[in-house]
Parts: sequence; C-alpha cells; structure tokens
Amino acid sequence: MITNRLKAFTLVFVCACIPILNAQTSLNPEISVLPRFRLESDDGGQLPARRIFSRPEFRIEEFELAIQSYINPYARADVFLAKAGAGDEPIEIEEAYATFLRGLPIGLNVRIGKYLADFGKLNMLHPHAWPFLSKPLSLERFLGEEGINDLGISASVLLPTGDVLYTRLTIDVLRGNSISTIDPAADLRSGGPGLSDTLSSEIFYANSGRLMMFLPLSENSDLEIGVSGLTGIHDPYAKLRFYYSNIDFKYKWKPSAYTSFVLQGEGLFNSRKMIADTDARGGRSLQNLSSGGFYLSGDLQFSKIFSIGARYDWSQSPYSTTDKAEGGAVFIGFYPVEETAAFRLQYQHTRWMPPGGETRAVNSIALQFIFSMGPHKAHPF
Amino acid sequence: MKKLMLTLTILLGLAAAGEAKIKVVTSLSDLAEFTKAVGGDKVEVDFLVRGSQNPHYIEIKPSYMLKLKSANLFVTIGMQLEIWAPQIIDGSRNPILIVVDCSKNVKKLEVPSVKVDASMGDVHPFGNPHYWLDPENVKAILQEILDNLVKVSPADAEYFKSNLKAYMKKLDAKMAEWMLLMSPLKGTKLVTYHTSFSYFVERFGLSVVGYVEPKPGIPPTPSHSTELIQLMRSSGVKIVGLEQYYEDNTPGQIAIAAGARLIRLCTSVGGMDGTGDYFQLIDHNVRAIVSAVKGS
Repeated sequence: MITNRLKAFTLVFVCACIPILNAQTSLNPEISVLPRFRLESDDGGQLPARRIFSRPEFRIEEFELAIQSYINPYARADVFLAKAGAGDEPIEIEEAYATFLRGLPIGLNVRIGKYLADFGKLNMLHPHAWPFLSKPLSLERFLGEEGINDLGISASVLLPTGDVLYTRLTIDVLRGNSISTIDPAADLRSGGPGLSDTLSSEIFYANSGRLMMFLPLSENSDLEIGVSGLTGIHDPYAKLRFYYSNIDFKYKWKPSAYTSFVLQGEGLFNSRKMIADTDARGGRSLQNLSSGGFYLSGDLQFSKIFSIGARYDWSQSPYSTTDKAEGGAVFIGFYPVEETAAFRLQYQHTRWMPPGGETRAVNSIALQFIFSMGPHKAHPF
Repeated sequence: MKKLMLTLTILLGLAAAGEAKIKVVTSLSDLAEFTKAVGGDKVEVDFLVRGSQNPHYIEIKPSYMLKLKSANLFVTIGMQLEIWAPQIIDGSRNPILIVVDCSKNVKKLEVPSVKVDASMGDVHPFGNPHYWLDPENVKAILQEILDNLVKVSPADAEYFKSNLKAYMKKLDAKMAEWMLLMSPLKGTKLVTYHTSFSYFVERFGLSVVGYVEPKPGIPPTPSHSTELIQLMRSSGVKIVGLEQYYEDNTPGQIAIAAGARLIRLCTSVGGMDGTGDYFQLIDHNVRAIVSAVKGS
C-alpha cells in the first residue's frame, strides 16, 4: 500500500516537475565562457643594455563569463564577469547592465548599470572581438587599460535620416570614477595606468556622447562614421576638467563569404586645464594643454580560416605634447572551426619618446588563443 | 469654410491611409517572393539575406535594423536558422513589429532526439530548417504569410486569399512537371556539402548518403574527405551537390577522387544566374541533377 502510494506520489511529482523543468530551461539565461590565453615575449626588459627576447610567458589574459537574458518583454540584461590570470586576482564585474529596449517614447533605448560607454569604435568592443591583440596606444594612454567602463545611465535614439542612412545618438551620464585622473608620474613605458580613482569623498560625474552614422555604400561594402565626446574632472583636488573628442570610422568590403577587408581608425583629441605652477602662498597658475593620438588598422580575410592585418599607432600623452609613443603591429588570425576557436599571432614594435628622455623601442611577439563556449551573440558591424 | 477644410483633410488622410502598403521585411529572398505573391500590390517587400549569402552567418548591420524599423511584419524561416535575428529585431526599436515564423505548420525533419551540444556541430535543436526547398512546404509558408497579412489588414483578406490560390495553382502545375522529371531518378544517391537539401531529396525520392562537412557547419577535414570518397565509391554515388556559397576546392577534389560530378545547387532565389524566382530555383536544381545523372 505504502509502495503504491509512494509510486503514485513519485509519478505525480515527476509529472508536476516536467512543465516546471521545461519552464526553467526556457527561462535560464544564456551563459557563455570566453577565456583568452596568451604566450608572449618581448625585448624590453633588458633595455637599454641588451636586446634579448624574454622567456615566453604563458598566462590567462582574461577569463570572461557572459550571462545574458531578457528580463521581461521590455528589457534585457547583460552581465560580464572577468578574471585576469590564474592566481588570486579578484573576479571583477566587467559589465552589468539592463537595457530597456521597448515601451519608451520615440524608440528610446535606456541602459543602466556598469558598462563600456559608447565612445569611439573600439571602446564598447570586448578584446576577444578585436582583430589585433593589443589596445591601440592612443586608447590605452587616454582612456586607460579598461577603457571608459563606468557606472552610468545611457540613452540612445535613432535620428530620422531616411531609409538608407542609419543615425544613432547616444548620451551617457557616468559616475566618473573610471575617468577622473591620470597619474602623470606613471610608468612611461607602459603609457601609464590610465584613469584611476577619484577621491572617495566626492563624486565628479562625467558625460559622454556619440553620434554614429552607418551607410551601405554598395551590396558588398559599408561605412560607419562616429563622432564622440567625453568630459569630466581629471584633477579632483583642483577640480580641473578635461574634454575628449574622438572621430572614428570603419569601412568594410565583403565581396564573398570568405573574403573581406576592414579599414578602421580613430583619432582622439584631448584638451584640459592643468596646474602650470604653484607659488609659495599656494596660488596656482593654470595652463591649457591640447594633445591627441590616433590609430589606423587594416584587416584582410583571404580564406574561410585565415586573416592578416596591420596597425599603425601614434599618440601623445594626456599630460604632455612632448611625451610621445609610436608603434606598429602586424597580426595573423587563424579560425579553424568557425568562430568558436581562434589563434592570433602578433608582432608589435613600439617606440616610447618621453620628454627629455631617451627614446626606447620595444618589440614583442604574442600568440593568443581564444575559445568560446555557449551562445555568446555575434558582435554588431 | 473651416468645416469644409476639416472634411477635406480627413478625406485626404483616409485616402492616404487606404493607399498605404503593408511593409514587410523577410529574412530570405524566397520568403520575399512568397510574401509578394500573397500580398500583391498591397505590400511593400524587402529582404535581408541575398540569395548568394549563407543564411546561417549574417553580420548584424545597422542597415538591417533600419529596414525593420518601419516594417509591419518580419517574415522568418524560424527553427533558429536566423540565429542573428533577435539582435536586429531589438535594434530596430519597432514596437509594432510582428515576427512571423513560417515553420509553424511544416513537418520537420532531423529533429534531434538527444540533447544537442557543440560536439555535434551546428545542429539546429528544432530540426533541419531548410524546409522551403521542398515545394510542398511552400503551401504551409504561404498560409502563414496569409494569416499574418490578414492580421494587419483584415479588409484585404479576400484579395490575399485569391492571390494565394493563384500562386498555389502555379506551384501545383510546376510540381507535377518536377515530379515527372525526377521520378525516373528515385533512389539516386548523392553527396551535398551541408544538410541544405534534406527536404528537397525527401520530396523527390533521392538519397543523400554523406556530406562534405564532417558535421553541420564544420569545415571539411582530410580524414573525413577520405572516408567520404570511400563511401561514395562503395555506394556508387555519382553526384556531389554544392550550395552556391561554398568554395569548390575540397568538394571538387572529392568529386574527382570518387569519379563523381560536381554540380552547383542553389538554396535561395537569386543565389545563382537563372534563379530569379522560386520556380526557376527549383527548376535549376531539378535540371542540374537530371543532367548530372544523364551525363554519368
């Protein structure tokens, strides 16, 4: 009797669970894992005494976990967790935001959370989607290693520019703590740590915006042009402001499924007030500084599994016009099975020209391996 | 005077509204033709994937979002063929867009009976989505399109139904012609690059014994090519059918090694010269296979 009851209960329980399990399966978010491994050697360690390539270092460049899903009929959420290295490095929230896609007037899209701001062409793109292995010098020096990745609210709208020209305007209000100040005394060889934290006692909001236009030129070619701006406080003590403006473009020609050529570039211009001198009574005199940088890259896919490309970089420092860096890179991509696995090999030559100092050149060779598990969505054009 | 102006404005507005066409965007060029066939001059149709493109791999372009921005309907094949579609739909910011899944009433082939994972290649979890290449399945597609056009414009229901009937009549006539041409070929074995022609071969009684891809979506490997050549020799396969968007290097070598003929088959309207509409598309595939069999 008990056995029969148990059997009946089990049957009812299983039957009851089936729809729940199905429902849970369909409601589960999409989870993807994208680790990047890197084997790298450079000849910068012994300079200027000897030019010897270091013993190749094999490391986990970054481990990215993407969790993405609609949260209701109007909005979706995207969370990207990242961990650098295989040691005790903390797991960081690379991005975590909700995007309200529907239900707002004039087709407005609103994004809230921590995210990579729509500034220039490369800032929003995760490194696994770049054709090259290293961040362009200008973006590294002016935006930092992590780029403009901040807490904020973003609103974007499509402008009525006809049926052919796609025009999108995005405005962001950012907390500003990833884009406040650059330590001018930072290591010049690496271009500095980028944009470090503000004073914890005070918040200085930053604002950014981008106007992006996409124009199909022919059946096989498209052009995207963007103009971006960013302003915030770079010196929290003296409350000094900086202004960045950026122009970017991407041209893609794709005559067949396995042949394409991408030409892409960005130019960044910096304007800021800086303390020029401090007198004995604490009085400060200010100076205006304007500097900038750019990169230009080309990437040719010549078969289903191979691509080859090159990039040229030139950049001043955010704090000095005489502190310059210049570099070039050539890279080869090998994608043996679709986009689920990629090998990239890059040779890079960089010359650092500090003000009044000795010019130093560094060569590096790096091999990157990326694989992806899960349904991580294709990146837009 | 004011009343007269107001009446005129309303009448002009109604007239304009009456002339406004239903804007439809389809994923494939084939679906655009079917929609145009049913919708006639009441619809304005555009499509995203050109016939020469592989519909599995489409770049997310803002221009596609712009096309969907003002559309009433987005007609799709479904069954996750257009895995790229959700991003384009979201990017269109079109709150009234109706997404039509034409696979609803199609008898699906190759539906996996086990949990699908990436070790199987790009297996579609809901089955093989290339069902539009069976002309009989076009009837289910037309019906789905009709139902959704009627949702947008109920007043034109009779017009759409009559268009559908006319197209079906033409399709039936062509179907009889194709069946006649293909009936002597029943049981003919062939190899294709991808699983694109499962529905087509099922309809015409052919048999696909292998694929150039070792698994769906996975590029050919030397070991798989060797096994395939041996299989083709032992099974007497004389035809390698290659979809219009794949490179012919490996399939060509396989065909030569196995003593077979390499023929180009087409999966979508406009994908090759002489495939300007669906009837020409099926005509092309039928005649290519018939000539290959005769030639061998």
